[in-house]
Amino acid sequence: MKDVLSKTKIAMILCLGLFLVSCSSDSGKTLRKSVVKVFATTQNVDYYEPWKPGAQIPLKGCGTIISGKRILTTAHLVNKANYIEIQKFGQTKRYVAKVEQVGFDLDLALLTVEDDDFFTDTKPVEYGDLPNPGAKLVIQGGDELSIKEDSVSNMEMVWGTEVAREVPAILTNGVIDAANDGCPVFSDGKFVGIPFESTGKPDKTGSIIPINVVQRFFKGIQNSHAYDGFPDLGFFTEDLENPALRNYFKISPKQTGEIITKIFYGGSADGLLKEGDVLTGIDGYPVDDEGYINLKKIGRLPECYLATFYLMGEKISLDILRDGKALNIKMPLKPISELLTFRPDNRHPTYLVMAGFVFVPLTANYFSTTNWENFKPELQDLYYHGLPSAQQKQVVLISHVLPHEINKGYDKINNVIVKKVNGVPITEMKDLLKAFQNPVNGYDVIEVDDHDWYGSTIIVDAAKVKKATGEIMDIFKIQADRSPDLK
Amino acid sequence: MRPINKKAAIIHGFFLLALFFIGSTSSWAGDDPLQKSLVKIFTTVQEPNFYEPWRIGSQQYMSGSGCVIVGNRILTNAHVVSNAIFIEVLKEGDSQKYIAKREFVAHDCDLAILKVDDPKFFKGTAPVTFGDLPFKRDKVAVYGFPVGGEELSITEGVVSRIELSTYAHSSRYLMDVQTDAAINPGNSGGPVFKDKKMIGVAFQGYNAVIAQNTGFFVPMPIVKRFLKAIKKGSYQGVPALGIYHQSMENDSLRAYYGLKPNQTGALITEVLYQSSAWNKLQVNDVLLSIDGFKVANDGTISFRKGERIGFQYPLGLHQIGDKMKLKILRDKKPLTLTVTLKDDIRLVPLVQYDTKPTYFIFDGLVFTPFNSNYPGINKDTPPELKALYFHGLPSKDHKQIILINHILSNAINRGYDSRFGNSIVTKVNGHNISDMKDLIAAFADPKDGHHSIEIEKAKDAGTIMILDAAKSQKATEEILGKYGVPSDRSDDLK
Repeated sequence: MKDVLSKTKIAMILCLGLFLVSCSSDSGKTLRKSVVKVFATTQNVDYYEPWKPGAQIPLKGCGTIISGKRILTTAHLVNKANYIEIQKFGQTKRYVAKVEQVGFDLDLALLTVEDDDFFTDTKPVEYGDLPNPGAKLVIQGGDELSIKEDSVSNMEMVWGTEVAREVPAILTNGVIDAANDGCPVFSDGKFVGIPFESTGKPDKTGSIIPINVVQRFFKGIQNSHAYDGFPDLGFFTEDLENPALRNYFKISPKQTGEIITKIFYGGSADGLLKEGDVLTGIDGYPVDDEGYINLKKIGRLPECYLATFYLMGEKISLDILRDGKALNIKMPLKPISELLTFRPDNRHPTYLVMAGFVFVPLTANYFSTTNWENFKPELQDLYYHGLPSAQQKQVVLISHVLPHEINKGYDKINNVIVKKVNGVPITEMKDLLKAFQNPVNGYDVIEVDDHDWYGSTIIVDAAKVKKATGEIMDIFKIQADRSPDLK
Repeated sequence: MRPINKKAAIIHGFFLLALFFIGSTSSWAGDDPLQKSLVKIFTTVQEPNFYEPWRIGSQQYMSGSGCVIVGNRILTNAHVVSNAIFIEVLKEGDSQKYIAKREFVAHDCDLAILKVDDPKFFKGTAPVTFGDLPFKRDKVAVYGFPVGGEELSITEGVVSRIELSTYAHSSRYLMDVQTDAAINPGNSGGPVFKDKKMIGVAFQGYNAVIAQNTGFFVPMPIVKRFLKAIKKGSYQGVPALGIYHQSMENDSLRAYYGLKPNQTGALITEVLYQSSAWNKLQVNDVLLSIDGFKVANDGTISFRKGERIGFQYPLGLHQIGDKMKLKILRDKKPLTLTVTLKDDIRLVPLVQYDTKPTYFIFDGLVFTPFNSNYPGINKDTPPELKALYFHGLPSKDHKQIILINHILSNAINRGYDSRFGNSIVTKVNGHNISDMKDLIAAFADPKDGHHSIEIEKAKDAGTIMILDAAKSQKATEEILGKYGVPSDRSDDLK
């Protein structure tokens, strides 16, 4: 959840500090015709009580006017917004804007404005090339239009805090903070990227979604195609540095590559690659012993960088060694295969309330409901290492219990994993619906994985469930017993 | 429902009542005859080093309290003398310290017996008289040498609560008594009196940030069981049943398992491999009574009129090898069983004291069984290890968790860096690894000139390590020399 207050404070401080710079800059005057302010009233999602609408939070940021009368901004600003307004710099009138596309995994979004007048006296940005290391960057934006200068350090895969995925980003030598949400970054007067919120990078550096990734987003929405994310290779690898390890996998001294140690269920590599294969090349580039490729101008990057630029279903070329024999595989690319999904744009979290038991899928978002330490180590472990399988496509939890006579004695149960319902293994939320249709001898039998204080078997009288659920919904003011996707 | 999880909440709250040593002066015993049993205990402690198990840990100086009991023995807490390499005792009113030795140490119930070879020590002392379990609001006095001064300190209060709770020293779930008499660091091992009779041994308290006026003592039923256990000449632990259970407060749950309206019990949800209940009790049995006590739907028994306590209570009164009668409901039919009581069984052993850590070094990989000392259970413990510590179940193929503790870097293991540390070993050279003995045996059987080590869940590192078998012997010797490790394995594996 965002701390809006502190963000605003930072924005104010930053603007004061940079006031002098903006006054003395000439290029700013022409570039500001491409920059707009974005005001979004967003509504948070309550993953603990998913039937409740979350709190309203006003957010502020900026956007970039691009060709085709569209405004490019950052997704986390607008993807939960109920109402969006935009404003040109130096003007007071606000125009209503709508979200056209959301690149949820790149933290990019495209807005449209109904009133064509908005675009008079504006200028779409000109796209630049990927800036080289050391190149000067200008970040235009802030609360009052300010300019901040920065420079390119290098390109890396960074963990996006708003998207919970590794995304290619340019690291910069200066701090880019939340005050710059959605503001365009220019190099030599041309648009080269958007600030990106990430973790794991060195202190006092910033990160930017570069122009080539922005163009990948545009490629994904060509011909009004709804953006469907960027694919994932679908495997883990291990470095091939140890001489005995190389011997064992029959790698000649000159050959480089990575061992494929884990293939994700339902992912791109599932059924095509084998654990123990050695990946020697990808997309025509040789893979080194640490899993990196060397790209001209850009530098050394992990092999997964390349998959980012492909569309779903497109094939990527992989060179592998299997039992010492070289093979080339054209692998069609699929979405990332995850046990715990992260949905930044999830307006309607999945849930089912039955006899007061609140069933939810364990998602990365769900971990925001309480302090990390309150989650059992088993759940923490799933967050770090959980991988899907045919037997477990989702982790289904009883998140908590809404107390009622029917669930007497079970009311302290919380955050337990549901294994079976009425003898049926629960591999995902949908399974619950079928399983509850066939009670055992008049009882609903819920088996949970909990050696804790509260036990592992829940029995409720199936004949009383419907009435009790109705009463519980009444008492706790729950409008629907399940989320729309389970209806 | 086994309370080991409660430890997580409590471990930071409890402090054990041994006191770091400051100094001592002599004093004269007053008229109070109870004071003649009081002993101050000074220890030099050397903690083992579980990270580099071949190394000796640092020394610490601590003090605690104790009392003289019949037979010229001193009764104190186990944690006062744990890992002690040198112990001295000073009787109240004396100025001369005597050297003491540990005769028996019971870590599970946090009690210990010391002996003093010099018979002069016991001259003028008077052993305590044993009392019984008190009732709530009974007035009690705590004697000892807590922080705040040098002389004997006496504090008074009432009995606040009697129940089962977690002993911080061992994480075992046993009866203790709570009092509002001040109990502070240094009181550990000191006697608690009621009507001039000893009714317990002060042993733990809460950090004042969490709760005030809450001190705890080990009550006489636990002390008496300990004294009985050592009669054989060696200490055997407090038995455990080896089950997980859940309460049966829900009507449908009781009906489903066939309990009649007048029947109550606890549902058995797990039976631990090779525990007392193994091959006797089954999952889905309902425990109706234990050792003659009727089990209520909330898992309690009535141990005195109007007083309830967890059903595990009678286990703390028995010895290992004792028989215990259980009444259960299996498939809705009543059944009476007799179990032979065994020690507590766990996949991850509880904190170890007075032992040298087990380790085995192969090509610079330091293997240790995962126990509660290492890597230590705190907020930084990797969640997969924490999950095993709290909920891991032992099985035939999984008697211990073997970890690659860390790696002593050298040419033979290059490429396998710190990311491989703290990872769980599943197979070596194709053999399943269920304990340290399996590990050593498996390394004697390389395949095609390679040692292969398979590990679990090293997501960003890998899952397999291969080592050149031909170079192993030499590499291990070289690494031991370089890192100053006296032996490739601990004494217990030789």
